[in-house]
Amino acid sequence: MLKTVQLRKIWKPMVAVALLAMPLMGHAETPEERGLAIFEEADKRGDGYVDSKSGMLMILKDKRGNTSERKMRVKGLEGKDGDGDKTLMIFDTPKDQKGTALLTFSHTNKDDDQWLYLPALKRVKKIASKKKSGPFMGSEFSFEDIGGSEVEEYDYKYLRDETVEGQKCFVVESYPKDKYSGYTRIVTWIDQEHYRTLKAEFYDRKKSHLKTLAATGFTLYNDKFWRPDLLEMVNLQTGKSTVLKSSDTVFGAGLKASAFNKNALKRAR
Amino acid sequence: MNKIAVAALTMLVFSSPSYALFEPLFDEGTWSAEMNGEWRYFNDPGEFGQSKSAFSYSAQAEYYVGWNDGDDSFTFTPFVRLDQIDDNRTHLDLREAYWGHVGENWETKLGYTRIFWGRTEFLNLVDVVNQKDFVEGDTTEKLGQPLFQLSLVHDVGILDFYVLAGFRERTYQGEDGRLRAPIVIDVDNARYDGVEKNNLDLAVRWSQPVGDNLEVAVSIFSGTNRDPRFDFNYDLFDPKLIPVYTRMDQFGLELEYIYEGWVAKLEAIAVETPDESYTAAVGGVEYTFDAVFDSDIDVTLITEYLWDERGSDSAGFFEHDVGIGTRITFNDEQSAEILIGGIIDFDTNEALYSIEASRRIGESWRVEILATVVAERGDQELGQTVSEIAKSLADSGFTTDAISTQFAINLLSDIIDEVGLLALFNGEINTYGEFVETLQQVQRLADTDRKLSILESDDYFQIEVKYFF
Repeated sequence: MLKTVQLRKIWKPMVAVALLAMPLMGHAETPEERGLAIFEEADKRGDGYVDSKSGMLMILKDKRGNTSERKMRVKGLEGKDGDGDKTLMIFDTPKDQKGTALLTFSHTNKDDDQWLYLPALKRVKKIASKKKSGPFMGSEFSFEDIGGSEVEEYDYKYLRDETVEGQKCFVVESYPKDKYSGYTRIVTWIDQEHYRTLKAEFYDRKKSHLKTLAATGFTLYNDKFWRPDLLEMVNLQTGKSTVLKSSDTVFGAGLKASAFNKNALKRAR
Repeated sequence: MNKIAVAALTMLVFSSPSYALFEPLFDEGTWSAEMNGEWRYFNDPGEFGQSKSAFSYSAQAEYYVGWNDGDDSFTFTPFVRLDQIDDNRTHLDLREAYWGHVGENWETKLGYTRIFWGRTEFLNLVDVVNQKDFVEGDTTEKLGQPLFQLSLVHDVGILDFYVLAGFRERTYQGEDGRLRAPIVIDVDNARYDGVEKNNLDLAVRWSQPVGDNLEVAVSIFSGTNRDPRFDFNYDLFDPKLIPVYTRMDQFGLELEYIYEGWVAKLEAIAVETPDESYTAAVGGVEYTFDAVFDSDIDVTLITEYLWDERGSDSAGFFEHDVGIGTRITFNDEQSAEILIGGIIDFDTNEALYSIEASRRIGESWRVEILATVVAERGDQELGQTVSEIAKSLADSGFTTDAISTQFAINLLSDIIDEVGLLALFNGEINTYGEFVETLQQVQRLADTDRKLSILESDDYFQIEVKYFF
């Protein structure tokens, strides 16, 4: 009893001092706030791209080293009025899937919408949000990796600083809010100079390390936007990997909103 | 006169302004193509002596060119099939040949194309813009339809208007083909009843997501019924069914509700024809187990109920049937997929099962295997004498054409009376037995309760090898 009273006595002034000192010290960020701030800054640096398009080559590798390729084109439209980006992905190969197209509407406040167009059937199918953790076109990328994401879709936690290949990075952990995400957490290495994601580790629903993503060959477009020319996703559990090489990237290509609706999906070329 | 017209047309096309207009059509276009070798093996010889196995070859090319930054485009997709045994299956079709134009919130298409409406898996009742290319065997294959389409795109909903010109008649298997009806369908002499052959048909469809999980579409079609009814030609020694096309007005509703791994689907139609008005629906649910056993494999279980108000009077196979199926998607590099399905009529115990599997081989090949089995056929009681058959036919409502019905009644009653008709049976070729057999076949077709019995011996296995250019 006595002890408690004494402790209180000691605590009281300490709390008072701390409260007084806080505005003077500046807001001491929690690791959660710092993690969010880093991702918000990274997002801000990508703002204003309006639209983009690029060619992509996807190389699938199995654990014996056999490879197969898919060619596709990606078009993106920056979201307006607080809603997320729109992405259209069109397949040129494998040839039996030519014309297959995926349209994604990212949303900041609810599940993303995804529609897949199957040209052989002339049919547009909505992808259930539960399916987003599934593999995209047989690759190591899942629908959720491909569709793009908004800052608001995760909780964050800053872990530490670390140097990756000579570049000082923030290491931030993020936790998907979406219950259908295939991940429990993602650890991301973001370089401190340009806020580019250099590396990410994905942990599956059983919390074991599933995949590692490495981004290399960064190029600066329009003096403002950094994009990697090469992304490699390695699945540590199966030994398979997928490389995504982008080419002919153009920002501000003058794409129209009419190229990002369900009709456009059917005529995507 | 003709020569002058041709010369004038040639001059017009090659004159510089029009060349400038059409030039983009021939520059920078891209071709792609698909060749398909198919082999079918039937468990039994055909009921009418058709071959047990058959090779078939098909090819489809696509030419696409876009200009004005892709706002204008031209797509040209010819299709050809050559069949070893079935002359009717050997055919040519223009799947697509249209000019497309895209505006800010609208787009148009002018020319031949194929349009899909629908949500459900086993049958798409609402999908009536295009005629079915029935000889293809796959009931989802459709003929190109000449049309003009205006599509208005708003934030969420899409409103499509269609003017359909140039009706396409359904293709049917020929006499030597497999999977044909017991009486050959006379595709060369189709009739039109109360409708012009080149009637302009109209259609409208509005589709819109409601909330995050529900997608709704409503459609109206007014024009020539894509499904013909049949009349018998009453030539008992060269019996044929004559397709008769009539008018139809259809109101269609499509619903799809996605919730977690569940998808609930419904297609319903209300149809008005000169002969009948009815409603029909297909509805059901599917559930997807993704990443089963920690693999990339998705397994989807599908069940649908197929219902038609007309019951056994409906022309289709499915009036109160249950469809069950499983789709296994491997999500692998070869895009491997297996589909197992069955349609069961619990009233007659008729059941049709099929299994389909496909995968890519290398970069340019794809192999598809299909097997279809009628597991249970309803037993038909066929009349053994002309009067028995005449009575069952009269009860069946099979012929709706009043004149031919009267003709049939007269013919049959003459035969029953055996008045001067013995002359028809001249010796070995045209025997009384053959004649009764023809009538029995008509009776089989008329017995719509036991529809699968017309696929008497058509269980088959099919392998397709496709090459993509």
